[in-house]
Parts: sequence; structure tokens; C-alpha cells
Amino acid sequence: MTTTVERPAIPRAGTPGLRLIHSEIYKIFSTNTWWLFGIASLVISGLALWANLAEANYRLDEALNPMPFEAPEGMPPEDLAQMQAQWAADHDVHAQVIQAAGGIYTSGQFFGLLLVFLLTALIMTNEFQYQTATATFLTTPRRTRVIVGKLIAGVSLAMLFWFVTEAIDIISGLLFFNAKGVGNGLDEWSVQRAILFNALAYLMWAILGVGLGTLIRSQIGSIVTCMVVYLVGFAGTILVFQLIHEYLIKRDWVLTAAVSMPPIASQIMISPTKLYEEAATWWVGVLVMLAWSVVAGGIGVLLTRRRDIS
Amino acid sequence: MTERSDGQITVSGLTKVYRKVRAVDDLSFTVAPGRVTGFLGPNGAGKTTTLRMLLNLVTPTSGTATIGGRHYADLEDPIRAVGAILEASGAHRGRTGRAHLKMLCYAAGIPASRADDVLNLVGLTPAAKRKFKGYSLGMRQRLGIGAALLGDPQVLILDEPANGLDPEGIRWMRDLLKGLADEGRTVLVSSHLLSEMEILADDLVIIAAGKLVRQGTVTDIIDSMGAAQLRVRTPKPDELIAALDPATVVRRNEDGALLVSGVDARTLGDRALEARVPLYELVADKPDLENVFLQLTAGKAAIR
Repeated sequence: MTTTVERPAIPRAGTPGLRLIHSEIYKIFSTNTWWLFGIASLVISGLALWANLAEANYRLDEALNPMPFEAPEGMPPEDLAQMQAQWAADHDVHAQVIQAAGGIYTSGQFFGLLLVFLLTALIMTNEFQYQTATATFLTTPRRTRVIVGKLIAGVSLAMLFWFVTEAIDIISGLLFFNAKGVGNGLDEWSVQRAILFNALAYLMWAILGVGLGTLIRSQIGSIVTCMVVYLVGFAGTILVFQLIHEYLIKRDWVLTAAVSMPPIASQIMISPTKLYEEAATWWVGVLVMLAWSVVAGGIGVLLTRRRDIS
Repeated sequence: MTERSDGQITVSGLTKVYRKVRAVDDLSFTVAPGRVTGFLGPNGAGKTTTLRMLLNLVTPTSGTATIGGRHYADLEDPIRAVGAILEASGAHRGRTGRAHLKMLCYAAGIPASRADDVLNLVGLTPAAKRKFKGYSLGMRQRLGIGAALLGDPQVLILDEPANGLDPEGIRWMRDLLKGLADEGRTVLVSSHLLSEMEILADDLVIIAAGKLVRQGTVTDIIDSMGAAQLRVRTPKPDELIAALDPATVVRRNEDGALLVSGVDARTLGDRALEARVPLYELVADKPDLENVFLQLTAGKAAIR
């Protein structure tokens, strides 16, 4: 005979809609992957910052303590004028500060983006690597929701990485410029733009990372793909488009079309000036990054919904 | 007192075809609340695939599997309705047992303090802050059982939960599952430990090659495979045989005991008393589950 025992109901906790995000963020911070990546990011940013500060120090010293301009004898007037202009630019303290500030305030961006790209791809592939996908999808059978939760968690993590690196860069930069007794460049749009678009780049690569991890659920497969896309992608893409331009289609739009590949799109998006003569405008880069994320993530969502979890 | 009648599992015409193999083939059975149901079958019979289809992890080719009349994916709060363990190694190596449970609590909207309650329940409190990679197989099973109990669910589905447990762990799990069934919950356990199932389960569902072989109570299934015979020892065997109905079949065993079939123990005992024949032993000698299982699945266990 069965006796039914009245059990006290377990109360509900958390805010509906935020529970999954909470769980996903907790997943990230409950293993040591995040701080290993964080330390790597800090070390690399530190090195980049040091290099940028050293270069800025040298250039500012040049600009602040000018040797008088000496025209070489017997130089044609056109060359002389060009040389004078160059000298003037090198000794324009304000312009040098702006130039240096853009670099210093975004120190560590190159590897920081790669680390965020890898980390966000791992958010998804870890589930299959460690067979936690079963527990995750038992808790939340609506699989698309899980992926959206991971996307939001990944983007938050990327913003944290951006914020910490940015804080270190800006504080170091301010101390440096103050010590040099020059302006800090923060009131200049081109410097503000570099900082803001740095955030945008972190955001875009995080979205792309989640999309890629959803598409390629093998851990090693997605890490290798990330590395290839990010590291080989830029030089490789430029080379391929240049070869096409050189030998197949000798039109300039071929070079412009290089923006269709994520690494180029990212660089075009970040760069305050045109990356190269035929380069597309910055917002085309943003759209391309978004399009790739949507395509990778969309196919990944469809596959995740259909595939058996075993 | 609330009657929990909502925990019935119904599998109906369930089929899963992988390429050309019919892993699960038109399988139908039901699992009742308040009882422990053993889900048995040779390796590759389709047990795990069936359980995964029940839990919306594998999409059936055809047929349905419902819990309390609803598909798993349609349950509002699945973790509070159904607890499941499917594999022992389902946690991140670098995460602590406690963190593993907490992340599930957060996703399911269960207070995080429940993680500690459950760790205590499965006896893992001392190892709560140890990383999963340092857990023994038995500890991993306990963590899995803990995860299944987080939502205090009405239905429990466990795939080979006894794997890796030591004898003490197996007894602990048996008591736990029996206790949960006594509270009115539905408990479906797959296993190939037949002797354990014979003790633990009330009902059995036996499948082979993706098809249902037999469903029923443990007693019915064992009895169906040959009438129970009685083992009797007496100093006056001839007088006892004379006292029994002529239809009763009696064989003399090598060790001097009588093997009697066609009569139950009570009748035999009464007749012996009437005939003033002393009995030194009277035991029902049933075929065990292992023999029954091997007979039922004979020739169906081939690798497909």
C-alpha cells in the first residue's frame, strides 16, 4: 500500500528570465578558465601598454625638446617644403598626444579580443566536452533559451574584460601624460572613438564566439577554428583578395570586398582612419561582424534544436 | 494529504531509427507511481535511448513518451517534476560538486541552499568543495542522484544508478529509492544488475532489440516462467507422497530432498500435519530473475 507523504514545497528563487543568465554566468565563474584567461589578458595588455608608453615617451620627448630645424644645403625647394612639414608634424605636441593616446588607451586589444573570442566559444563547447549538456537541457528543455542565456553571459564577460583592460589603460595613460606635463587627449573625438569602438570590438567578437561554439560543438575543433579565423584570418584574407585583384578581377571593389571577412571587418571597424585606400567605411565592418554572428549562431541554434544530446 | 496520481509514465509506439538500425522499435509500456519499476534489457537493447527520448534529449522517429500526460519539453518546471540521472560523468572536471548543483539551482529557480540540503542527503557534504575530477565513481553517482533530487520531483528516472557504487552504496541507494516510491513517487530504474533489481523493483519492463519482451510485477514475471516448486525434507517421504493429491509431481533430489510441484506450501504443510509426517524443511524454490531474464531475452541480445 502506498502512503503519500506531504512534503514542504521548495520555494521559488530568482527572477524568471534572469535565472538562465545567472546560471550561465555562474558556470563561467565556477571554473578556473575565466581567471586563467583573465591573467593572460592582463599580462598581454600590460606588455602592450608598456610598449605603447615607451614609444609615446620617445616621441613626446622629441616633440617637447625640438632641435632647431636645419635645412640641408642644396635641397630642391619642393623637398625642403615636405621636410619642413614633416618636422612640424613631428614637433606638434598636441597631435603627438592624440596619436599616442589612441594607442595607449586601447593597449592589449589584439590578444584581448582573441581571448574573449576563445572564451565565449568555450562557453558552449564545454557543455559537450564535459557532458553537462544533458543536465543543462534537462533543466531547460527549450534549447534556444539556453543559447540566448549563454550569449548574454558571454557578452557580459566580454564587457568585463573590456572594462578592466580599459581601466588599467586609462589610469596608466593619465598618469603618464600628467607626468609628461601634456594634455591627455581624452577630450578628442578620435581618442573617445578608439575607446568606444574597442568596446564594440569586444562585443562583436564575443557574439561571434558564442555563434561559432554553437555551430562547432567539438572543443578542439572550435578552438582551432577561432585561432585560424583570428590569427591567420587578417593577413590571409588580405593576401587572397590581393591575389584575386592582381590576377582575376582587376577592379578596386575586390579590395573593398575584403571587408566581408571578420578579421578585416573588425580592423576596418576599429580604425579611426581608412585602413587602406579602398577600405569600406567603419559601419560596414559592424554589419559584417553582426551578419557572421547571426549566421553562425542561427545555424548553431537550428542544429542544437534538432540534434540528439547523447 | 494530496494524492499524487500525476506521475504515470506512458510510452506509446515509441520508435527510434538510427540509419538502418531500429534502436527502439514500436515500444509501449507504462510506469505507475508509488512503485519502483526496473527497466531491464541486454546491452544495446535501447534502454538509454528510450530514457533519452522520454526526457526530450533524443527526438523519436515516431511514437510518444509522456510523463503525467505531458511531454517533457512541455513541463513548466521540469526539474520540480522529474529528476533524472543519465550518466555518471556529467559534470565539469574543474567545478566543485556544490557549484555543479548550484548552477542547476540557479537555472531552475530553486534556492541555492537546496544544493547543501541535497549534498547532505546523498552523503557528499565532506566533499562538497572538492572538484569533480577528484570524485570516485561512487561519489559521481551520488552527485548525480543529488542533482536528480534538487527539485524534489514526483518522478525519478535513473539510468544504471548502481554503477560504481560499493555494496554499502548500493544498499543506501536501494533504501533511498524504495523510500521515494513509498512516498508515492514514480521511480524508473534501468539496470543490468538482475539480483539487485529482484530486491529493489516492484514492477519490471523487459526489452530486447528495441522491443518490449515482458511487463508486469516481479513476482508475476518470475512465476510465469515455470511454476514454483517446493523443496521438502522429511524422514518419511513415502508417507508424505501418499498424503498428497495424485496429480502432484514429486521428484527425489540427489541430496534426499523432495522437489514438489503442483501444490502450494500451505496445502502441503496441512496434509503433512494430518498424516503426522514431520517436516524438516519446506521452501519455495523459485527460478530467479537471472534465469527468467536469460530465457526471455535469449537470442535477442546480439549486437546490432
